[in-house]
Amino acid sequence: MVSDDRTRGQVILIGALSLAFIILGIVVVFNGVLYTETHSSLTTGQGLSDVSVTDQEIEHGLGCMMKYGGKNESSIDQNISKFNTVYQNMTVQSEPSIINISSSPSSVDAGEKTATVAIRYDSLDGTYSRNLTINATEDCPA
Amino acid sequence: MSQADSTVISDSDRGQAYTLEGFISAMIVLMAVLFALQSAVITPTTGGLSDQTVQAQVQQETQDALVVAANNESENLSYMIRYWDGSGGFEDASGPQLEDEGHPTYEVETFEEKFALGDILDKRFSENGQNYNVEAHYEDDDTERDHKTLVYQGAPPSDSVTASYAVTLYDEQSTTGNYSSTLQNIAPDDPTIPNRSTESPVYNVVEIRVIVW
Repeated sequence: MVSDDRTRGQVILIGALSLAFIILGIVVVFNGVLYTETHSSLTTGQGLSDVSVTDQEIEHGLGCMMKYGGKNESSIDQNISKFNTVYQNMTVQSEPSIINISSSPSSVDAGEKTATVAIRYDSLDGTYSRNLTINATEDCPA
Repeated sequence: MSQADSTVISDSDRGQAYTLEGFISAMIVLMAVLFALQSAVITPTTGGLSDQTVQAQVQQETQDALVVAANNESENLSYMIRYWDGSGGFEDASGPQLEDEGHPTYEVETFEEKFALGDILDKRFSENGQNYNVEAHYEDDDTERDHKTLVYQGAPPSDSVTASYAVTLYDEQSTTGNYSSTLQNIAPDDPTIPNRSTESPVYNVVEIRVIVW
């Protein structure tokens, strides 16, 4: 009878100890969740220029190219293709995406000096395509 | 008699034991709660990494600086990258020379005076005690990647941020320093940046990379 009562009394102690460990356990789990969340959302920080900057680079690059070398449709088309090779090789090594610029002689107007090019971005986040109309830039940095 | 006595004693014993155990339990739980409240949350930033949102902000500012500098009227990125001295380096560069590069880099003050990018970076970062490197990355005529350093303020730490902008150079453009020549007429030994795309008006595409920390 006496030993039974004492056993029941110690249940409170053991209960308190378990509660204490549960509280400490919650702290560890919560900390782990926060750590994982912060860690997984860290970006690499390596020169990932966003799409609007890429558009601007291409617009500047092709705009002046058409001013300097826009004799006829097929030569402009070839020059766009050569620009694409250089630009793609250059950006693919510094950005986690592949940028492809394509055009066809039919989308180029040598008289008006405009061209419509298709730009395609491929990255881990997905693929995105758009058409960009390029006008020859007159005030190119000389 | 003895039976009745022992019952009374054990009852009072039990009461005291309950009280004591109750107090001890309360203290244990209180200590656990206190410990939990005091414990620091450990995240990747605790180790000294700067906060992710701050890094993203600095990167955006650097990217904006590049875009603004690229659209500047006179001392833009294209002007900056064509400021050659005629012997494989950049004019007026008098800073430290890197081991694997055969030309001096710019002093921060000179870079700030000469170019729009330097002016913006100086106002935003140098004056706040932050450092930056400026590099030009390009492909040479063998399609191998190479780079020239314009500003070097030390090796960047792991939490530095980078931003870049691609500038296209054309055969018909001229160098902008005292050494004056159109890019297509430069002697093969002289160019600071080689001609990558022959048989097209494009001379090369150069990535201007800014590393801030």
